[in-house]
Amino acid sequence: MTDIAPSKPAPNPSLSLQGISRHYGDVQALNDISFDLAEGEILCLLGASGCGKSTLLRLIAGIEDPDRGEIRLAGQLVSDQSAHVEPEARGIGFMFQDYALFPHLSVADNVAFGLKGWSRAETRARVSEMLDMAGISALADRFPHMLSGGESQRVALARALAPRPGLLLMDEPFSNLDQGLRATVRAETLSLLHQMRVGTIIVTHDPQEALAVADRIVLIRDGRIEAMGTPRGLYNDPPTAYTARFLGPGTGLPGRIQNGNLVTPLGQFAAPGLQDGQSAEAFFRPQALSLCAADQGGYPARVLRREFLGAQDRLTLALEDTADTDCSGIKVQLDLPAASVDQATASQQVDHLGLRLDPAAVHIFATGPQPEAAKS
Amino acid sequence: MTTTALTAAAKTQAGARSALRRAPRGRTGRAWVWAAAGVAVLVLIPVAALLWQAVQGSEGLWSHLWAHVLLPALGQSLILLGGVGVVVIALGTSLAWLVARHDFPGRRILDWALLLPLAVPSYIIAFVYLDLMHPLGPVQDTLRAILGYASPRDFRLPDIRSMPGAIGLLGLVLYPYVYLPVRAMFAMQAAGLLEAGRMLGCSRRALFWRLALPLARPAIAVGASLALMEALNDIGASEFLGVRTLTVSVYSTWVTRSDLPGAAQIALVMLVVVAGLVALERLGRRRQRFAGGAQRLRPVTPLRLHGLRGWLAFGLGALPVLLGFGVPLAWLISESVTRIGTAGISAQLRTETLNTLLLSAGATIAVLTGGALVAFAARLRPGAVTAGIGRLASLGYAMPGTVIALGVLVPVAGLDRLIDTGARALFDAGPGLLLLGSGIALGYAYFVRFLAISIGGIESGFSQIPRSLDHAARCLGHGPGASFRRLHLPLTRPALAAAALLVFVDSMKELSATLLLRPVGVETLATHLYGEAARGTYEEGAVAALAIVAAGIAPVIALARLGRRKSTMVG
Repeated sequence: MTDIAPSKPAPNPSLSLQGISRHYGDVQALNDISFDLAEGEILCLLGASGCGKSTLLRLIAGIEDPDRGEIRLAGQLVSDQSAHVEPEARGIGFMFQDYALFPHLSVADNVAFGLKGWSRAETRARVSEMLDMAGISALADRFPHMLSGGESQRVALARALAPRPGLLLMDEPFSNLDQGLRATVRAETLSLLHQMRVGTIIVTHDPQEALAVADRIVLIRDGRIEAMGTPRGLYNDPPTAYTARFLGPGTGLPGRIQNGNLVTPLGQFAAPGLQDGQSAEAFFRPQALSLCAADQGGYPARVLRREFLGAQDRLTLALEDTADTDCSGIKVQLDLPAASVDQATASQQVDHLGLRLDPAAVHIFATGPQPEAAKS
Repeated sequence: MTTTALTAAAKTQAGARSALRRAPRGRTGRAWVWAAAGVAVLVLIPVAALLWQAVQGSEGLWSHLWAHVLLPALGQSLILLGGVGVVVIALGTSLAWLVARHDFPGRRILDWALLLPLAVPSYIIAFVYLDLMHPLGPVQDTLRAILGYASPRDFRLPDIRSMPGAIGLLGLVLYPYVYLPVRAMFAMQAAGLLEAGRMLGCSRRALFWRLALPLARPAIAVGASLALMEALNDIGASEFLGVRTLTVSVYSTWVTRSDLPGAAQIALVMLVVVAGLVALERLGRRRQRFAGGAQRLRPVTPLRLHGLRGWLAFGLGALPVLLGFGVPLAWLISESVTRIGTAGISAQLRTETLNTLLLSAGATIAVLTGGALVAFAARLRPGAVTAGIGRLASLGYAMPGTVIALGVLVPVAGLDRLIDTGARALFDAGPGLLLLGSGIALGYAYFVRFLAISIGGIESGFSQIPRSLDHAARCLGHGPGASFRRLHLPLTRPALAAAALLVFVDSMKELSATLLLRPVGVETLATHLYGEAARGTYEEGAVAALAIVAAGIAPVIALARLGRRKSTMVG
């Protein structure tokens, strides 16, 4: 991890984690996790499966306890090495990946389950309000086994939000939904969350989802925070190569630093702060590339594969060796709007094209150890 | 936001958070674990008392006991167990093979009807056949009439009151313990496996011996060990049929000779036999853990038996049902009808029925409560501690009723004396034997013996509930107790009901502990029957037996339905 992108401390965080660690046997599931969650903020815990993000959610909820570190809710300590607050006293809403609806209770009773100590009238009013907000009033008397995936998701959300939790935790909330349904349900969920102004942590392994819903993303890798920042910030200016690759497709061109520049087959890029002789890579997103005819300059490339994706064409290209570069095996992929392909002459079964790269959209990451000279 | 919601907004959880109370970690559910540990201690007390009692015995008595009582009884018990083992394995396995792998007229009925002999306790089948096969009884009378003999002196069948008689009768009612798991195992065995065997040149018969049977070995081991534990526990049948087993010796050493240490020593030997059975079961199951994994595979298509062969198969399969259930039930019904028709039902029998029901109901409530405590503690805090508690609390299933009764008697009698002395000192009057006299001691013995049924049943019920439901309940403000009440209890109702039914009926049928611990002058249906059979008088015994068998049919039907649901899931 190199740099933690903008993390201004919230004045009154609804959740604050300090140095959270947790291990299972020899496996260090979480290592020194610290961040704050502002009131009403939607934060995505993003990471590959098994990276520890779900474990973190369980620690926050109090279902498990961390080995080290402190958890505060609205400024109050709820967990440290020696003492903790039981999950039922934390006032946290938790939406489980499998929704965990109680099969023996109707939808209305599921939503009412968390309203402990409320009067009958208050409970009834709150349940109908929540069902209304979630758009499932018609399902009040149904039982969980009669619900579709999308309906179950809404019931689970309404149930978690009904007791007005100070914090909402969602574990892969959209992963059990069909692709077609997912975007709709996601939008509805977000609007409900914004309406209720509840601080929310969403665990997901899907970078598209994190980019779409989060105010802030915390990227976790092997139990540590790899990067943290706004979706736009992390995508456009990734602090690490892992972050860059995790958030979306791109190509890394290997090279070596010479005179402060990274020399690659596609040109030289300024690499401030890196020593000469250091191996590094130039990473860029597909949209940083543009095409031209082979004879109009640009770097020569051969078309390996064209895939028609409807709205766009996906081209896979191999860079060709020239007199002064060896780039065998380097492939790039780029999507072109279907309409523009003609202009780029790609549709005319042209095998050879020229590639141009926008140097402003290139990120330089060190890939190897610092050279011997720099160490001494 | 509506106005009601605004007023309710005062009740936000965020507002409640001003009172967050932190407690030391690792305390969640600790009260449940302590309660579960208490349950396990209750089970262990009789074992400890038995050990203590056994070491009280004097040397001189011991050598006498060893030579004249223990050795012969041990020999008889081992012969009985060996014989019953052979009968139940042969009968249970071949019936399972017949029903699981063949299709013939009436197969669907036999599939569950073969379980029915489970409803007949061993002392009842002995009671019935003693009368039926008596030299002057209906069977031998008919035989003589057919063969043209005039008197029993000219012709009689071998006496049923013998070791072979006991082995046969016990085998007839205990084979379902083997049949049930082995049938499930045969039904589960993947077709692919057997087809592979045939491709490799095995004949259908060789398949049974070389593939199906070895694969079913774990199920056979489990079933046979359960059947043999029942055989060891049996007191009525052995006694009626004149086989002096360890169980009978414990009873006579205690009741007739009033030698408690001696009885405890015999009981310890019985525990060694039980340990041997458990070891045999483990041996039979070794290296077979994979056998359970074949569930999702394509099941075997049964071999269709046509015409005469089909009817022959049905006849063979129906014979054990007829002998182990049909004949006894028919006899009990006919005797009961005759008896009730002439004499009605005596007030005594009504009282005994009430006693039986009250005792069984009380024991069932206690057993389910204990089982729920142990199972829920393990659910809340999974780990070595709760697993160990569960195992200790389940020990009673392997202990014969007489052994438990002996172990219960000593501490309970001591406690009774203590209560009585204390009460006398305080109020100048004592309650006498409060616990022994009220049947609480007997309920305690049932508790120890049947706790494993409810722990197992409730745990398997809990295992159907995803963990995320527990966590959801916690996050929605419910502590362990509230979660148990509002989530686990309603969701395990079917498992609880099944466990309750089993425990209730088993308590009703229980004879060996009941004989030793029932309060003076109090009889249950089972002890009434025992008394009549022991005296050789046949009065209302048939009515009592009919009541027990009728009650016992309910759990057998439940078991059969459970098995069918499982097999449809596999198919």
